[in-house]
Amino acid sequence: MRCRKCTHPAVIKMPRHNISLCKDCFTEFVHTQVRRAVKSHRMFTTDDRILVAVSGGKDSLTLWAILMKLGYRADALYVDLGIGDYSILSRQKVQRFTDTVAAAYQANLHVHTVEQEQGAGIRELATLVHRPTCATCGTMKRYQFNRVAVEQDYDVMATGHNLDDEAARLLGNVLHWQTDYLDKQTPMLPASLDGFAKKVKPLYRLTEREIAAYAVIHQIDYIVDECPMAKGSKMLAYKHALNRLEAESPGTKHTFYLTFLDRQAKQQEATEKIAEQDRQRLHPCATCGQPTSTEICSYCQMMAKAVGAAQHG
Amino acid sequence: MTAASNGSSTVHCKPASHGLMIRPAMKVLVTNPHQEIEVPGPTRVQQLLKRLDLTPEAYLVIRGDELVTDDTVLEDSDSIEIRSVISGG
Repeated sequence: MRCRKCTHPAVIKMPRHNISLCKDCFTEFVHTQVRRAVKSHRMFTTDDRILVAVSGGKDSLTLWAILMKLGYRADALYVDLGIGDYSILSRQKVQRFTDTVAAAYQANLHVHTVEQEQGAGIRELATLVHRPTCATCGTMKRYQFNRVAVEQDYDVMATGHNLDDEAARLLGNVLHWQTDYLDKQTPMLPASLDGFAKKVKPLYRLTEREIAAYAVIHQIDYIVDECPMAKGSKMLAYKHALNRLEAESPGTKHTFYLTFLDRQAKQQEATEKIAEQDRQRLHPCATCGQPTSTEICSYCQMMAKAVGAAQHG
Repeated sequence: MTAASNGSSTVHCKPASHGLMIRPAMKVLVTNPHQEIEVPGPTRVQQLLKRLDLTPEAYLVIRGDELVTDDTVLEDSDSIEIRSVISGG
């Protein structure tokens, strides 16, 4: 199979675009998709300081690598969740990437260790507060990434969410008609008020397969194993279902999510609406000061419950 | 090599030539869930995925350190990784 653009040997076939590309042309394709995402949603400029949320997985490390390569000022934050060998290995991958790749760009890595800072790993916290581990993890990561971005004066926080993540999330929200969540499913959430970092998803135009291919081609050493806590998650079921549809009808995921974004943009100025809604309903948490719609934010409520359970347990 | 001698979960060996030689098979590592199998070559990537009932959109096929496309012919001497690309809870 030959590259559609230059006739060198192809390394990947992308049925959704009906093309096959060689290493160099595929790399340019990926960079173009990221540039397009950044520009179309006004995510950031080369003057901005970006904090990338890294996990050691393919998406976040690839995002960090691409942003640095494209000339952006990108540091990263890793949250060590204390999930046994999985966290040990993922932290090693992040550290190795920092030392071998990011250091050359003078980029920095911040690390937040949950066991050290909160006194227990994410599984123990989930048990104490009687919540699913993935939900507890989500609250923890959202809180810590926002906190570090705000405290360290980053202009924007970037996550490695890809087209598969967004299409699966959209499918889940539509299947359950969670319309409130639909409003917020955009690749750019503004820093609507003090204490809230701007959040962006520069990989939303790329599939997981394309991102993994980029990682392999550029020898980005990421953790291939899935988080043991994710087994049986609904997101994985939605992704498998969408990939079955994609095999039958290439471009399904792309059309599903990008058409949703187009319609959302036509119906409203999505980001302005989100910012206005946030300003109306959010205020500082009475405990930590981060924005919340309740008196005490969900993170502080969770931690208070965990401390209470630990003291009485 | 036989199933008993290598301990792998699935082995599809072709019949031994003249009853003297046992033909080696391609070693295939599948991730998530981890599985090591042997498959007789030559076979195309797309045939291999179909045979293992794997959705092409959810996997990359890697020979050595190189990505290969679905029309690539894989030989008995190849070491192949079929890497799952799906993640997330």
